Amino acid sequence: MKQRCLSEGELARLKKTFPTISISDSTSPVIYASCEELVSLTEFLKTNADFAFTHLSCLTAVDLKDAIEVVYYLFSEPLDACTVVKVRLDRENPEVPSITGVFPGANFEEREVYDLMGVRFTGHPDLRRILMPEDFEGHPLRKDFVYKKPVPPQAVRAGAPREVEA
Amino acid sequence: MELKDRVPECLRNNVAIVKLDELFRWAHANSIWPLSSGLACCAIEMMSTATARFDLARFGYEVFRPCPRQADLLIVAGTLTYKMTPPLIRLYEEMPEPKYVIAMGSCAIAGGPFADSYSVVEGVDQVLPVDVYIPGCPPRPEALIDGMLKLREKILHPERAMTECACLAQEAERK
Amino acid sequence: MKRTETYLLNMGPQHPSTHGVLQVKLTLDGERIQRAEPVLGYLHRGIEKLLESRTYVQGLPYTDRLDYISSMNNNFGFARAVEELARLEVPRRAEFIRVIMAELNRINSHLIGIGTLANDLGASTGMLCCFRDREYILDIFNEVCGARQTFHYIRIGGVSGEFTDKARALTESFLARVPRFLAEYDKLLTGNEIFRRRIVGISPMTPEEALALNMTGPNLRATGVARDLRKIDAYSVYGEFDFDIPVGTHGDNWDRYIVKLREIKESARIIRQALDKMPEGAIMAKVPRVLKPPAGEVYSRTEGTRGELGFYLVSDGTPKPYRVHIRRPSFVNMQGLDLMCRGMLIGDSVSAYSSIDPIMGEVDC
Repeated sequence: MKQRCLSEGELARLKKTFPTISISDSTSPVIYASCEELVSLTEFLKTNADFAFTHLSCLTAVDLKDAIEVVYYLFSEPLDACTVVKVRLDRENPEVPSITGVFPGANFEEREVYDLMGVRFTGHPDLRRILMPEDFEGHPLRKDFVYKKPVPPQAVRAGAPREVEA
Repeated sequence: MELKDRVPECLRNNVAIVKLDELFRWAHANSIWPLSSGLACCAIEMMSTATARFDLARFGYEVFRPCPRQADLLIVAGTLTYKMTPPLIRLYEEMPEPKYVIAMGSCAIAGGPFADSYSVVEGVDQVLPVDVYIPGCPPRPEALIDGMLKLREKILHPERAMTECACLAQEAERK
Repeated sequence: MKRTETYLLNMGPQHPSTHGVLQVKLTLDGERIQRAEPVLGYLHRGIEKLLESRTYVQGLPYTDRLDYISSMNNNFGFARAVEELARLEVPRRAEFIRVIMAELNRINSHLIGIGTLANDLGASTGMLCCFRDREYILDIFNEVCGARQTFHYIRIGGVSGEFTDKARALTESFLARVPRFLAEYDKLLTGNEIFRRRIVGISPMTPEEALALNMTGPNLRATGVARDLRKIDAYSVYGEFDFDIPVGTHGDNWDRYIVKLREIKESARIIRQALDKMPEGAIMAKVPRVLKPPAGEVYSRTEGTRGELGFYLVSDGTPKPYRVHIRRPSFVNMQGLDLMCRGMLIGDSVSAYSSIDPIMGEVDC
């Protein structure tokens, strides 16, 4: 039994509150939001009693080669429904407001997206690399990421003379 | 006169004469203290090896030490990433000599299924000198025990184990 | 006048109780922890990127190595996501075998969780007992697929091998063993005064805090929220079984321990029913030799051993996925570590690491 998607009536109600969002027509509709309204949209979805999308299940980003899409999967237990919110970003300068104010649990996932995809989350309390080393260059999950593996450091072999400190 | 001939007749049955080196090697080979350091999946198999069914204690190797200063065997059990390389080197260098390294599992041998990943070192032998390689993903506990017995052979009879240089020379000759 | 200064203590990545390569930076005031900052990434192997260059079928073994002590559940999650994307129907018998395997693996994983918690608190016997009982589960896995840890048994479209009579006999005898070893743990650990004192009331968490941090799995259920995807989604054939969701009350280490212990009992119940109801039939659907799911995206979540395990797949119609993202429960649950450790003693942080039960392969991916 899979969660249902939002019905047309519910989406129309959402559209009334947020006129600028666009909704894709398919069996599983996707809500495309702009950067400016993302935080207020997610807050509305979470706090409005009719929707109550209180569980942020998945936060990730996809490199579409001409743009980067940040994807949010939200689940609502009272409605037993799932909704997808997407934000399209400029690939050269991807920047999106952080939703840690609405979902504090988005903290690590946003850091991960920043680390691996290079999306900057403005307003994030602690935006640093989380998986790769701090001095790593590039963002591995970008489609054009090329990387030459460095030569790893060497241990001092057993029995080798140690350098004497001057 | 040989040393053993100097032992008085009445004590011949009670005195064993060995070289000090060999005595140390014998003692060492039968009580290896591994470092309890696991990187990934293989560490679980390493733990299973030490517990009831496989019982590494039968061979005298069960004294897993969490501190590198008390250990003389580093079992690299799992995938080595670039981020983990400096801590692992530090662990190795902190161990007192003589020390040995076992590369457990295909990740530690050559990167395994993650060899073409951007963050994985293709084999610990790029970083540390390795004594015994144990293939498998992950190797079964029996394989780890076998690897440790191979290491015992190597410690007891260092002349039998081909040195790294000799191995490379032989390979060059073959080419 | 007394003056105190905070100082920084580093734990890991090599520490006997950090379960792999977790590093935690503790800010301490005397012996009290003010802040615990987990430093991740020491086992980041780039699985998401690797999966983009593998076909779907080739990608499946990588999920074995994600959360390496619950490989069956990961196989299950990934296979379900691909099946949903490619619109494959799985034979009913295969679904029953999958459920049995997933639940056996859940018991296996919880046994390791309990064993390592006991070991970290100094009760090595507890660990030896848990690892001993775990071997009986591994015997069953060994029988069906020949592996002890990285199984690759649940395949896209079904399972790779028949659930043989011998496997059934082994499972039956394991089920008979479950109440015996649970009683033994009760004697050895649950009723042990020292063990209780070390974990009762340590690192408590309210349901609001846990929900705000998106925590799932036993860590959430220990706080009293009965959220379990096996009930909510009732995916696969879980809807046909009768089982309860054990919950705690205070969300402390004790509750996390007890919830795991009770979940073992519930999993055994599910396995019992699945064995009885298992139909005859095929174990593998007709899967095309080259699997090319239609373009589109899917997010499929299952209840892994540590919480909500989600696979987000984007397909562009080629045999390889365009993008794979894995929602790893351990990774999200790690956010709770700071909250759990605050105000606790350094010695108690060890039990917090154990009871939150992270597997670094999954945290770092």
